Amino acid sequence: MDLMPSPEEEQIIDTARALLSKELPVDYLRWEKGAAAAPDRALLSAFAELGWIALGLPEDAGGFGFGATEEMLLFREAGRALVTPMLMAAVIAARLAAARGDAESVAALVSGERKVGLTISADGGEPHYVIEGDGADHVLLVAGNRVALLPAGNFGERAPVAGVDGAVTLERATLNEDGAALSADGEAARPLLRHLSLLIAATLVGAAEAVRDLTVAHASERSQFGQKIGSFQAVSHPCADMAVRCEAALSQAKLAAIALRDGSEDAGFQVQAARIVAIDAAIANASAAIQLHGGMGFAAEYPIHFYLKRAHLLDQVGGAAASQLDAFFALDAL
Amino acid sequence: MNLDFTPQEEQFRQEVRAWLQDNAPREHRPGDGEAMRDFDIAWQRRQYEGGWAGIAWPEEYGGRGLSTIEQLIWYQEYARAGAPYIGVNFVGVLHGGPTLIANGSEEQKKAHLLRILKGEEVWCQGFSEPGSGSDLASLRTRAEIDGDHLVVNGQKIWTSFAQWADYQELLVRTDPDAPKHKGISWVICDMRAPGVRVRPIRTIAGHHEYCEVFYDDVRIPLANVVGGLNNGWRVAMSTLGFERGTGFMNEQVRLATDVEALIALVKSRPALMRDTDITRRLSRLRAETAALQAMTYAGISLNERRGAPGAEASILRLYHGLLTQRLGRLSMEVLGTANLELSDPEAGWTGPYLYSFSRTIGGGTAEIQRNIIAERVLGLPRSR
Repeated sequence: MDLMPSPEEEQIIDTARALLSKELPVDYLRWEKGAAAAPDRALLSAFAELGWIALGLPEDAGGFGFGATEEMLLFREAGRALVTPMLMAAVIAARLAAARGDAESVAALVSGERKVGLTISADGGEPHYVIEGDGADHVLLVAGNRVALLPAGNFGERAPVAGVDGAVTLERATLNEDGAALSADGEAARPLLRHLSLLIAATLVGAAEAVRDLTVAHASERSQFGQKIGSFQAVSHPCADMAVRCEAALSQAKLAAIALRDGSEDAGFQVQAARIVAIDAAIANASAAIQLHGGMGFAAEYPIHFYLKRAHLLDQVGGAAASQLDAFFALDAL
Repeated sequence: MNLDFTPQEEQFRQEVRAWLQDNAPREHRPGDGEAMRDFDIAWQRRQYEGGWAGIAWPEEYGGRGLSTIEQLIWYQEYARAGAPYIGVNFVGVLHGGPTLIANGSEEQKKAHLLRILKGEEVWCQGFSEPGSGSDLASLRTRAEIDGDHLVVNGQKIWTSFAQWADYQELLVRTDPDAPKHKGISWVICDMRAPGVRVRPIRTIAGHHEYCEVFYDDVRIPLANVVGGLNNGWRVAMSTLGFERGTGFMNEQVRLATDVEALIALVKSRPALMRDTDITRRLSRLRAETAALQAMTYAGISLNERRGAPGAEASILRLYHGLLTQRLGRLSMEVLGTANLELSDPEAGWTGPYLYSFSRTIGGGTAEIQRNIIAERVLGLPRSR
């Protein structure tokens, strides 16, 4: 039993952290030209080349044969850097293609040649919101107990809307043709939905940690009343609470990733718990971070609000918190 | 990262499970008085005789010499078997003993460790004073050297189980002129020494768990100083490290059992099942309790690499305290009018609910834990 990353896992963390902090420093200038021109989208091919999309796929399915633990640690870093959900969509799409034995699609997805947007569907139906659809040729549909990969052209009446998360593009759309070649329903969709929830949890852990670190740095530099504000308990104690939420969310995400990788009976339970704890941590930490940054926290040119908004966006993917809580409550005790 | 237990650890689990099945007391643990003390001591004795006391303690002092992982397995099975709260043996087994193992002289270890494991010595903790709570280092109970003895005068408070204890981990000021952290000593006090007087205090949960202790010219041999004269602050921090780190592992593991018991209660009542406010709050608590278990695993993994609990223990301690209080509060809503009947602090729901208020006070308040997290985990400037 060991929840500390192995040397191999450490290497994945270090590589990802080094690349993302260099290429995607969290800075408002990133979105000066609008979400469509954001540099994280341009880096998708580079991520693919590094093997990030194929990371957790079995080798015989065209992947690198790492497990859900490595993916969890990678997406934690992606969450810190606010990497576009297209990466997550591509990973799940590749898993769907592999499960359906479609080697050609797997190859197109893991190479980054095929770009994938992500849908959020109200109560599993219309309207569909497409995330980053303008930069994608395919879209991952997650609706109710179904996961499908559709050509972007299957969506009609696409209307760009100003989304809550301005770091990604958002469109309202209707689903015109649903003759998806790659689709999984019910039991077949379950492992994909579970995997998606783990990646969402991992991303939110990274977001919760990023705003904790920004806030600790701010509280250590900013002075008022002749003292660093981090020396006031009115500031330091909410920071401590942020650290507690991070530790809880990270530990549970690790445990869930291990359970999923090992195919444990409790994998569903642990992943759902991870998602619930992570969404709470991300929203609560980002909210506290906005407050503790004062006027800066409320200013769009400072990056914290992006984390809050990303958390709310991802919360809606595959069923928001209330439905997660209801489903989790219905599970039997371990 | 893995959650695999080795074949030896799995074998150990099977042995623990079988033994607890046959030996864990089935009868109700008395919540107060001599009956409680006798119950706790008899259960400790039975564990020792079965070879299960001091699993992670060195073999030469009567322990099993195994790792924290075996200790965790023991607590997991302990919770599963519904075995009773450790009660009066808490201080000796979970932090007094470990402090002696880490800091005591050979003589001190030989004199006490085996007796603690056998249930022959009950210990209590003499840290807080009426004027020194969160600011522990300001303590004023004085000890003056007289030949080869210390002569102690002063008062301690919130000393759990002092009325049943044989010995006490006692913090005294041995150098009043030194800076406050540098004039303190950690000494072993014989609770039967002349001049020691104990007054039990009733808690809001209705039982007499803690006490005031008065010292009037109490003579303690200098040989009872642990870790060196005036070095008591460092020793006390090691004690609190054990108390906050591994001391509550059993209760962390047990919380999941209690949360599932409340969920089962709600699921058996259709009216409650329709109340999504209750079910969703309980669902969130269930997820967070899973996270607490994961944090316990993560903490053990870190300790196994580093050798001793660090400041991160405060994160676990705080989280556990807050979750326990949320469970208590929810249980009062779920119970309805049944919550008018007071139960024992360790059984039923109303007693544990009231007891849960102590979880963010004892062993360092939630505010002190947040200070520790802010300063020592996050590196923020010192709070005032």
